[in-house]
Amino acid sequence: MLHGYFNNTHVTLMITFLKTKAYKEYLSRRDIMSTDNKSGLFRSYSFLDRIITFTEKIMLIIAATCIFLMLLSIVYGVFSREVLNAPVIWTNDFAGYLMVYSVFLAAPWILKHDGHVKVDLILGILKGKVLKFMNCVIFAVSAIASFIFFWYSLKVTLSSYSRGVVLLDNIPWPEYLLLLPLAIGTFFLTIRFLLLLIKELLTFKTTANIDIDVPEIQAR
Amino acid sequence: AGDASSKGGSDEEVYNLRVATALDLTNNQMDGFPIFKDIVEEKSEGRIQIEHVGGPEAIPGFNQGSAVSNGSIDMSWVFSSYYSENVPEALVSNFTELTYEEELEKGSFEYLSEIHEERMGVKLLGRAAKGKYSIYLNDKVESTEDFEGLSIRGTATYTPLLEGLGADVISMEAGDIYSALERGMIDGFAWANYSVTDIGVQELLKYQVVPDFNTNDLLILINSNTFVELPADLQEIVSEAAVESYFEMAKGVEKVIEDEHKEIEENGAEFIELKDSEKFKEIALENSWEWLETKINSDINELEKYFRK
Amino acid sequence: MEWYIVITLFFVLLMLFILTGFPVAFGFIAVNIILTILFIGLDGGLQTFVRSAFESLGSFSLTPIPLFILMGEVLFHSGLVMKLIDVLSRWMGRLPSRLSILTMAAGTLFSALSGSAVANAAMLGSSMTPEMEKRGYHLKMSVGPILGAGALATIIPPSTTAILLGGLGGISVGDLLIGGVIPGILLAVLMIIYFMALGIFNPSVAPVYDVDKTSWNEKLRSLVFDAVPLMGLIVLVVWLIFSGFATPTESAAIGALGALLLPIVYGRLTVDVLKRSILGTLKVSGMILLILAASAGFSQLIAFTGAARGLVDAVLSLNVDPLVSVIGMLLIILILGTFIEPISILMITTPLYIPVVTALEFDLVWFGLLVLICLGIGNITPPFGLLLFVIRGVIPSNVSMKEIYKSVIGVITISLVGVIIIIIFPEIVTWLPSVGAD
Ligand code: NA
Ligand code: NA
Repeated sequence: MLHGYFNNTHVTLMITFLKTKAYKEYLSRRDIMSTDNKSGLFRSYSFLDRIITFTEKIMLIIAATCIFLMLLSIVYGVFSREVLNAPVIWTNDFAGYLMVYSVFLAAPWILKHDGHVKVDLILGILKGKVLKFMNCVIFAVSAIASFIFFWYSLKVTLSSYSRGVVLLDNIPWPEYLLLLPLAIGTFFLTIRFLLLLIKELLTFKTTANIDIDVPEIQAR
Repeated sequence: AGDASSKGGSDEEVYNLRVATALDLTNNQMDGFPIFKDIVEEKSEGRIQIEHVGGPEAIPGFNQGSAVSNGSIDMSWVFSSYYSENVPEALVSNFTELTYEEELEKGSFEYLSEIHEERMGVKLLGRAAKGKYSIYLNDKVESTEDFEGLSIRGTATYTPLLEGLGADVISMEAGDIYSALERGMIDGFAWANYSVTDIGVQELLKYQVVPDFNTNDLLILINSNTFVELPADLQEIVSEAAVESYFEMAKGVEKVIEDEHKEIEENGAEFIELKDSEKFKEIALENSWEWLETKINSDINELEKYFRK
Repeated sequence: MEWYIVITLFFVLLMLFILTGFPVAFGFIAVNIILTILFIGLDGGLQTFVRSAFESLGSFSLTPIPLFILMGEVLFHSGLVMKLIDVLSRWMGRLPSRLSILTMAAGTLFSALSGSAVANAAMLGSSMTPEMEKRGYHLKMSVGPILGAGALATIIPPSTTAILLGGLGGISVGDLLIGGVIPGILLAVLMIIYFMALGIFNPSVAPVYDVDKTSWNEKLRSLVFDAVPLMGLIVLVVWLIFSGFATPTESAAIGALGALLLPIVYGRLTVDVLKRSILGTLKVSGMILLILAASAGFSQLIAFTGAARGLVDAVLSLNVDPLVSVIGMLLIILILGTFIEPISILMITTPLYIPVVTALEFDLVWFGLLVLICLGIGNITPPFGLLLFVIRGVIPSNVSMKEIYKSVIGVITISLVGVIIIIIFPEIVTWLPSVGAD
C-alpha cells in the first residue's frame, strides 16, 4: 500500500485528519516525547531541525513561485504569438528550467512531510523495534544515495561554472545556474534523511511509534 | 576508459573502446561508423575492440560530448552543435568554406582538436559524415523574406541562418521532431540534406527548401586519456581509420540523397527553389561567421585562417 | 554479461529497494548509482547520471505535468467540482441504479478535470457513499463506480501518467492525451450500462427512491452556472491540443489559468484555497518528477548495457504472434499492478517495452493507451490497489477489505473487456489523433 502517495495527493483528507482525535493524540504524544527528553542530544537535534525546517520552507516558497512563473511564462508565450503576433521563443525553455528548480527545491520539504511515494507492503506489517530498525536502514541508505547524487551534481555544476559554459540557445543562460538546483535540493535531502535517522535513533528505545500510519478517517 | 591499465600500453593488451552515436545506427549519417569499426579491428588485428553502446537512448545526444569528456564512454559520433556550449569553436565545422581534403592539408582539425583538449579533455579525430544542410517546412516559402516568424527546430548549427532569416529557433533533439511537427509546435526543421526519412518525418513533410547550405558537422570525439593510453601504433590506426571511414562513407552519400529525394516526392512533398538563393547562401555563411565571433573565446582570425578561403 | 542476467539484476535490485519500503525516488537513485558504478564507472558514470537527470526534467514534454495538476488542485480546493454532482443529480430522473450512475458520471468528469485518481476517489467516496448507504445501496453499487472511475483517470485527459509515458517512451504526448478520449468514454459507458443492468435485474442492490422534482428553470440555471463553465474548460483544454493550436504544455497553462480565473468569478478564490492548491501541486508533481529524474539514468543503463537490444532480439526470435508478446507485456503490468504503484511500474517497464513494441511495428499510441488502462486497473486490483485503501478510509461504515475486494471485481472485469476490445479494434485509440493531426 502506498503511504506517501496517499498522504500527499489528497490534501483534503489530510485536513480532515488534522481535525481528528487521532491527530490530537499524536500531537500530545509528540509533546510528551519532546518534554521528556531534555537531554543535550535532543536539544541539539531539535535546534538543527528547526533551522533546516525553516530553510525547507524558504525553498518551498521559491518552488511555489517557480510554478506560477512557469504558468505566466507559457501563457505569455501563447499571448505574444497569437495576440501580439510577435512570438517569443524563450518561454518553453524557461518553463522547463523553472520546473527543474521547483522539483528539486520542493523535494526536501516533501520528504519532511513523508510525501515521497513508497510501497509499504512490508513496512506496514512491521512493528516496534523491527520497524524502527528498518526505517533506520532506509534513512541511512537514502542519505548516502542523496549525498552521492549531491556530490556529483556539485561537481558537474562547479565544472560548468569554472569552464564558463553558456548555452547557445535563444537566451545565453549560464549552464551552472540551470544545474544548481540539483545540488541544492539533494544537499538538503541528505540533511533531512540524516535528521530522520537521528530522530529514529534517539527514540529507538521508546516503543511508542511516533510516526503515524495511514489515518483511519471518518467522513464528515 | 577502456581496459588500458598503463600509460603507453603493451603489444599484447586488448583495448575495448566504448562508442556512442548521437543518432541510431540505422540513420544514414552514421554510415561511417561500421566502416570505422571494421578498419580499426582489422588493422589492429583485434587489439582494439569497438563496442557500440548505443545511440541517444543509451546517452542523450546532447550529453554525449560530456560523456566522452568525463570518460563514461571513450568515443562518440556526435554533431558539434550537440556539445558546442563547451567548445563554441567546434561550430566552425559547420561554417567552413573548405573541403575536408583542404582542411586536412591545412591541419585545421589539429588546431580545432587542441581547443577541444584544452576545454573538455577530448581529442577531435575529424569529420564523420559528408553532407550539407537543408530546411524542411510545412509552410510554403518563395524567398528569404518568407521565413519571418516561422518556428523552426534547429540546434546551434542553424541558429545564425535562421535568426538571419527572421525565424524563431526551437532547439530539440532529433527524437522530438516528429511530434513537435505533428502538433504544429514547429513549422519546420533544419536537418542534414539527407537521412530525413530515417527520423520518419517524410509523411508529415510538405516542402524541402533548395538550396542546401553549409557543411555537416558530425564529428568523431575520443577521450584524451583513452587516446594517450593506446600504444603509438594503435593511436595511428585509430586516427587514420577516422579519416579513411569518412571518405569511404562519402562515396555512398550521393546515392543515399538520390534515393531519398525520390521517397520524399513519393510522400507528396515538393522541392521549392528560393527566388533569391544566392542571398540565402550568403546569409547562411556570413551571418554564421559573425555570430560565431560573438560566441567563441579564442581568436576568430585563427579560425578564419584554418576554415575560410 | 548476458542480457537476461543484466535485466534480472536490474529488476531484482529495484524490487529489493522498492518492496522494502524505500521512497521510490531514492530507491531508483540508489539502484542507479550501484548499476552506473558497475557498468559505466564511478566518476564519469555518475556525472553522466546527474546530467541525464537534469536533461530528462528539462525536456519540453514534461512541463504540462505541474500545470495540469495545478488546474485540478484549484478546481478541487475551491469546491467548484462538487457543484457538478449537484447539476448531474438535478438532471437525472428516476433511473435504475441512479446514484451509481451519478457517481460514475461525476467520476468521469472529475477525471477530466484533474490528473489525480486518488483525489477523485477520496472526493467521491466521502461525498457520495453516505447517501448511497442511506438509500440501502449494496457495496458494489456504491464503491464500484468510484473505483471504476478511478481506473479511468489514467486515460481520460489530462492524465499525468499519460504525459509521463509520452516523455519516457518518446511517444507524442498530445496523441496519447487525445487518444484517451474515446477509450475513456467507451469504458465509462460500459460501466454505466453494467451498473444500470445490475439495478434492473436485482433492484435490491440499488433500491429505487423518489427524487424531488426539479423545475426546468432550476435545471437550466444549474447547468448554465455550475456546469457549463467547468465543462467549457475541459473542452477548451482538449480542443487546444486536438486542433494543434497549442502544445500540451500551453494547453495545460491555459487550463490552469482558467482554473484560477473561474473561482475568482464565483468569489471562491481565497488565500487558503490558493495556498492549499499550490502546496498540493508541489507535493504531487514534485514527487512524480523526482522519480522521473531519478530513473532517467535507468532506461539509459538498460540501453547502454545492451540489455534492451538483447530483449528485443529475444522477443523477435520468439516464434509467436507479435500480439501474444504485447499481451504478455500487458499481463506483466497487471501483475506488477497488484502490488506496486503505477509510476514505478511505468519507470521499470517503459525502457524495456518501447524498443520491443517499436521493433514489432505496433502503433505506439495504441500500445501506450493499453498500458495506461492496465495501470489504471492496477490502481484498483486487490490486494494492494491504492484506491481500495483510499476508499476504505473515506466511506462511513466499517467495511472489511475483503468486502471492498469483492465489490471491485465487476469494474475490473469491464476494464479488461475494454482492453480486449481495444486490442481487437485499435482504431478506437488511433482514429481521433489521426483526425486531429491534419
Ligand atoms: Na485525467
Ligand atoms: Na494495485
